[in-house]
Amino acid sequence: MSTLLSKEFLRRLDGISMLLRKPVAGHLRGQHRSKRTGFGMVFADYRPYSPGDDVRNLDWATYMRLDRLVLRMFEEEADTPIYIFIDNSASMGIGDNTKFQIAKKFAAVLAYVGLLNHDRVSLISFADGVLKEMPGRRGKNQMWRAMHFLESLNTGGQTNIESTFRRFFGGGRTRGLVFVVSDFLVPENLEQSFKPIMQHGHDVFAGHLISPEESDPELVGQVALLDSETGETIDTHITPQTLAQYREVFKSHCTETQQFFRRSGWGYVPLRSDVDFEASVLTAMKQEGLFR
Amino acid sequence: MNVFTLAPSVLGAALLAVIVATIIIYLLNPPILNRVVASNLIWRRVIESTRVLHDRWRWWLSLLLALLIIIMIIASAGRLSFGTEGSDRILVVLDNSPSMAALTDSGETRFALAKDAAASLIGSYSNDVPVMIVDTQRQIITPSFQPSAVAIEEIENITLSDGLDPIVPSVVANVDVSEKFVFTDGVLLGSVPDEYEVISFFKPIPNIGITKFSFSGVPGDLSRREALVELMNAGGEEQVVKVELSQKNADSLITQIRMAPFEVKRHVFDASRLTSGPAKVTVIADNDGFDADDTAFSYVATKRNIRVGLITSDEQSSLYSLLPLVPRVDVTKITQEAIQTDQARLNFDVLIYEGVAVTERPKIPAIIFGLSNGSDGSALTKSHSSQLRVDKSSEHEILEGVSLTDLVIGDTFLLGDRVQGKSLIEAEGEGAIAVVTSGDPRTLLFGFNVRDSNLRLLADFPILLSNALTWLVDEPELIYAKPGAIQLPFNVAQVFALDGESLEVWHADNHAYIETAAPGLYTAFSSEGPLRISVSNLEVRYSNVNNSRLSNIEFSDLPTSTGNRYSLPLILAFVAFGLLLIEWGLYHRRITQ
Repeated sequence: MSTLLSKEFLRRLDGISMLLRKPVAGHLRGQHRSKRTGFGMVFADYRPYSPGDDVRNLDWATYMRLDRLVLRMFEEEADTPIYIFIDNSASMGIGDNTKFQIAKKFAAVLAYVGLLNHDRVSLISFADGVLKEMPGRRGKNQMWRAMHFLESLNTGGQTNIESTFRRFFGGGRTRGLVFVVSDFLVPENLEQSFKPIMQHGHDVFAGHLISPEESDPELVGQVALLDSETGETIDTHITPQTLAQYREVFKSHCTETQQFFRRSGWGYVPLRSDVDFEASVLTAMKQEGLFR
Repeated sequence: MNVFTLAPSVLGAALLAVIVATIIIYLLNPPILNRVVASNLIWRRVIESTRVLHDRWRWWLSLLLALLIIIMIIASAGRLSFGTEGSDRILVVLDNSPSMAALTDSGETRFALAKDAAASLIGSYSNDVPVMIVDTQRQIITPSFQPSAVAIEEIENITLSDGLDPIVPSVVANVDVSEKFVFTDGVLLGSVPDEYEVISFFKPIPNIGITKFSFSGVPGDLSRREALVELMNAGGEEQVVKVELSQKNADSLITQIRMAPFEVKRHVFDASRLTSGPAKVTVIADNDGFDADDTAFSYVATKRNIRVGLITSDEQSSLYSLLPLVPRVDVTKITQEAIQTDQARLNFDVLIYEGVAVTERPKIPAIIFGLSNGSDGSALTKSHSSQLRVDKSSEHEILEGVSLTDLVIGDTFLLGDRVQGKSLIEAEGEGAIAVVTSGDPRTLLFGFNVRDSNLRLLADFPILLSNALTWLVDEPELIYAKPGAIQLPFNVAQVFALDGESLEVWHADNHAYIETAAPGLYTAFSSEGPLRISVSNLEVRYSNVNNSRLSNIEFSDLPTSTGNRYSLPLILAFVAFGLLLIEWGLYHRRITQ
């Protein structure tokens, strides 16, 4: 089906279901708890009968005791919109086993599982804005379309998460689950970048891509560091001491990123490009409580 | 050596070497590694955090070092380019003023030690180092650079001189040399510019010196004279001094004086029994480190009888009865007409006019009482006060020993400003009534007659007359001068030293001049008679050999062997090299940490 994920790995994904921490706001029937009440399995509440209500939900036992018509309410199970944002900026394409490949694989996993769970899956590639979008699709048979979308993506441009979210969610989108797959190397702070999502009350899950070239660069001597996104160059002399300091700062950058998502009540999983993706991603997602 | 004097081939080779070295250094510079990174965000944070203080300081320090290195190299190159000749030359100033004759603890004079030290210093340089020797008494007329061996010989030939105003010739101010030395005791030379290295030969010594020695007549007694001797104790210890005034073929006059530290004391000898001729005064003290001021010479002038012609309208003139009582005075009464002839004037040394009108200036020295005409011939104003009180208006030697307190004058002509000369006596509120004129001949002019005042009744009147006659006609006792060029008060003269040696005389502006190198007695002969000249250094400045500006540097250490001294360019080059090492160290530390 795809060059992104192996068949074997896809078979393993068949048994995975996605767990949401918040009730969903979907319109169609699905596998997730909805805030609405209706035809479901889980009792939610009572309310007085009014003409036009489905008489099948009348609680006859209560009528017998109280001589009043009372309607039983159930939690309705609905689908959920899943928005998968893939960072397409130039920084994602740096390195041997690029972060972008891992990002696409991770997005494919999410899309596959979402489609299996009858959720509406949207794929959005972004840099300094929305570059390309696959509108929400449902059903497993839409997987080929999702894979085709992911394989068609290329890197380029600068990252601007805030602008992307403002443009995408500015037109009014159903509240759902937002996946952001990025290296989060953005000049502004993440609080500012994710402010549009916070306003709309989406549930967010971040996939933080880290490459060994970033976490442990092998540079020494006089170096001109060319920023892949801005083209800005820094001429500096890198000593072992500078490298040690860099590692500390990068570590602290990762910690700050993780702390931001945790503090916001969102999910976070680090994705290293030098680690076998298929071997590690399911474990990480289960540890985060998103996959079951 | 000067780079502009290098041969073109050598200069070209040097330039080529510099260019090749520059290219090699450029090629050896490691290339900058261009590396594309995902983002510079992290790198910027790292660089900013490390550069915040440390790198900024390092950057400024590096800039400072670079500037210093450039300045040093430029300064060094500048010296090499434009001052190479000056950089290897030295200037030695040797103080040969009189105070350098003071003895030191070693028994040698400051000057002898200074000469040895200067020779030693010059000897420590190689012989090809040009040396300029300058002395402060201008014995070396045209200082010039010469090899050190010749300079040492020149130093040996320099002697002490008696000039009290030593000076470093202005020619050395613009001489470009690497080092300047002054060998001095700092007494007479005074302050030394900062660029000179001062080698001090000063150390306080005990010294008793004669600062004044002169003869003068005793006021009121033309037959007696006295000798004034002024002494100075320039040392810090009390001393008992023996003072001896002596003359050839005569008994000496001896006295003992106790002198406190730094005290100046005067003593007057009664020298009446000394005959005319040279006289010498000597001081002898137990501790005396400076001999040059221990002896002084003077001359006792010849005295003779004074022939006075009295021209008076007063038959009972009190002057006629008073003048014979003054020692050495022969008085003759004559008429005004009789004195008009030249022959008559030759018979008198002084004329005294009393109560007669004097219409023209006398041809010989004169005293005029009752002067009624001003210098322009106009009649003077007369004061009719019955009791006019007067006072001295100057400290002229005619008034020495004379009190005018009891002098009361009746009628008098007021001389004021209308009679040229120096005011001697002034009437209260009326101006001058007695004036002296120092022209040729000298005159003493009174506005009043003797009979119109109580002058004749005063005890000081004979003293006044005696002083006046002495001042008018006596041979000048002596003229005092310092060693060097001396101006004589007449045009043509022959001058002899005490030993009979004739001195060279030259003439200019109606004056004769002689040059004396050392203190002594000289006699000048002219048509106007002999003139005694006493040349001496009798002055406080001469004897005050401990008044040094270097009193805080007693015998400074001599400069150590300077033969291997580094020149300024070399020092600058060393400093620049040191700074380069520091910069390299910082760079190395930066890239290896």
